[in-house]
Amino acid sequence: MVKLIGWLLTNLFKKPLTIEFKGKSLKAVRGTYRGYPTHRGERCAACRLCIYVCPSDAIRIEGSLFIINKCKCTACKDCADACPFGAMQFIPRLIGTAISKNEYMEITEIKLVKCENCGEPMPKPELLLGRLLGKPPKTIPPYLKLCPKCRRQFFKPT
Amino acid sequence: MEFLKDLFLYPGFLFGFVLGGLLEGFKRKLKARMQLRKGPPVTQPFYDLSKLLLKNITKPYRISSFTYLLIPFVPTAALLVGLLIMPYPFYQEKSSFSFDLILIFYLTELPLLSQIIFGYFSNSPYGMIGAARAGQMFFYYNGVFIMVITTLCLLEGPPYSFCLKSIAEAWDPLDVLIKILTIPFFVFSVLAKLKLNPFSIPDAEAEILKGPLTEASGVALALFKLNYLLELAIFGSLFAFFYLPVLKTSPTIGLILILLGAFFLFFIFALVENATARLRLSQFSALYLKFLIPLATLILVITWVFKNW
Amino acid sequence: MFLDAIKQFLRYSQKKSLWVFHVNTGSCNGCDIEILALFSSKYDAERFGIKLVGSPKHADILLVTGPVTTKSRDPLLRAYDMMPKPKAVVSVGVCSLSGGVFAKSYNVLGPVDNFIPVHVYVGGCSAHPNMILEGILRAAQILCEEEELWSF
Repeated sequence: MVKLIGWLLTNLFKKPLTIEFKGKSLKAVRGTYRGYPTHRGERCAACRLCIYVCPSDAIRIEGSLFIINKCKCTACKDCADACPFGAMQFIPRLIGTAISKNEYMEITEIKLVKCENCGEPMPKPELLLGRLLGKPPKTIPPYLKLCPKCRRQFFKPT
Repeated sequence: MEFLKDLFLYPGFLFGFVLGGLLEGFKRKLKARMQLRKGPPVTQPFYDLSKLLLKNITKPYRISSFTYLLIPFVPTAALLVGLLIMPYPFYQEKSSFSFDLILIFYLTELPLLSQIIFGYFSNSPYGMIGAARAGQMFFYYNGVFIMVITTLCLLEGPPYSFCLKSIAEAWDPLDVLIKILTIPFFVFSVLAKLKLNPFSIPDAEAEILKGPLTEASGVALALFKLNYLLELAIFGSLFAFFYLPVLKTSPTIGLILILLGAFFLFFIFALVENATARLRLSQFSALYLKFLIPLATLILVITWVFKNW
Repeated sequence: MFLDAIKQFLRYSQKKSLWVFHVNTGSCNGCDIEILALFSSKYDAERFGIKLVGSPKHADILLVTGPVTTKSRDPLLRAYDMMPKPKAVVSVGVCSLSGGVFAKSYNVLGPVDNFIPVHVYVGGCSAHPNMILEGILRAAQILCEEEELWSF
C-alpha cells in the first residue's frame, strides 16, 4: 500500500503515457500489425480460391470487379495463404470509421486479357505459366493466348 | 435583496457550484495524472451538468413526473441553506445565523436521504439494492462523523454550543493536537459520505449499474449532480474550518486558506481512490465497527478527560 | 439572442461530455476488451469527456458490439429506448456491422442496423481503440449538429 502510494505520487511528476490524438496520424500502427487485405488486380487470375476459403464470405467477384467487403472481413489471412499468385496482400493499416456501410466496400478491377480469337476476357497466361514453371516464362506458346473454348476448337484432341 | 445576494452569489449557489465543480474536476484530473493519463479538463463537471439540462427525460413507467423532479430539488435547497450557515470570511460578520454544526450535519444528510427515497420510488431493482446499501452504510459512517463533531465541540469550553465558528477559533496547542488526531476519522467518514472509491458501495458500477440513481435522467440527474457538487464544496470548506486557522487571520487570507484546505482534502481523496479497491458491505461494516468507531470514541473520551481535569 | 447563446453553449457542452453505454449483443469479447483499453492510460478517452456509465438512462452514445442474437434483441431494443434523446449509436466491430463469422448461424438475426438506427460504423476485427475513439468523436459531431436528433 505504501509502495503503491509512492508510485502514485511519483507518477504525478512523470509525463503521461497518452498518445496524441491528431486525425490521420492515428492510423499508423507498428510493423507487426497484420492489417487488412488489399487486392492487386494485375496479379489476379480470378481463380476464386479466395472466395472458397473465406470463412466470412467477404469476397465477391462480379464480372471483372473484385469486391472485398470489409464489413465482413475478420483479417484471418486465409485468402492470402490460399492465393497461388500472391494477389491478396496484407498491409498494416487500420480500418477507419464510416457513416455508411458502402465506404467499407473495396472494389478493384481484375486486369484480364482478351482472347486473341474471340475477344472473350480471360486471365493472363503468364500468371499460370509462372505458377507451373516456378519462374516467369520467356515466351508464351500461342495456344495459351486463346480462351479455353477457342483452344478446344483449334486444337482438337485426337 | 441582501439575503438573495447571499443565497445566490457569494456563500450560496454560485460559490458552492463553482467550488464544487472545480474540486470534482481537480480530483478527476489528479486521478488521471496518477494513472499516467492526461485526464479531462478541470471544467469537465460543468460541461457534464450543462449537457444534462437540454436532455430529454425518460422516466420509468407510471411514475409522477412532479415527484420525479421534486425529490432531487429539495436537497438542493437544503444544501444552499447549508452553505449559508457556514462562517465564510467576508460573510460571517454580517450574517445573523448561528453557524450550527448539527444543522449543517443534518442538511448534508438530505441528499443521501433523497437518493434513498429516489431509489425506492423509481421502482428499479438496482435502485432498491443501491438504496438499501446506502441506508445500511448511513449508520456506520455517521457514527464516526458524530464522534468527530462532538470531539471538536468539546474543544470550545463548557457551554457546548456546537457552533462552527467557535470550533474554528479554538487554536490552543492541546486543541491542535486533538484536531490532528481526528483528521483520519473525518477523512474516512467524508469518503463514505461522498461515496468515493473504497466506500463506493451504493453506486457500484458494473455491479448494480448506478445504484439509487439508475433511473434518473435529464434534469433530475443534473439536480443530483448539482447536489453532489454542493456537497463537495461544503465538506471541502468544512475541512478547512476544522483544521486550518481560517477565522484567525484576515478575511482574504482566510478565503485562500479555505480553498487550499478544500483542494488538499481532494488531493488526499484522489490518492485514496487510486490506491484502494471497492470494499464489500461486510468488510465496510467490520472496518467501522472494529476500528474506526472504537478509536473515535476513545479520542472523544480522552478529550473530555483532558478538558475537564 | 441571450437565450440562443445559452442554448449554443449547452449544445457545445454536449460535444465535450459524452457518456457512453456499452451493450454486448453476443460478441466474442474481443471488441469489449478494446473498449476497456480505450479507457486505459495509452488511449485515455476521458480527456475528451468520454465516460463509461452504468445506466442507459444517463447515456448519450450507445456502443454496440457483436451480432444481434435472438436472446439479445430485446435487451438491445430496451436499452436503446431507455436512452434519453438526443442519442447516437456507434456500432463497433465487424460482427455488429454484418454478422461477421457468425453471420449465418442459427441464432443470429442480423447486423445491428437492422434493428436500431446506427450513426457511425467502426470496422475491424477487432476494432482498434483509436478507431473506436474516432468513431465516438464523430458521433459527437453528428449528435450536436444534426437538427432532427434534437426534436423531441
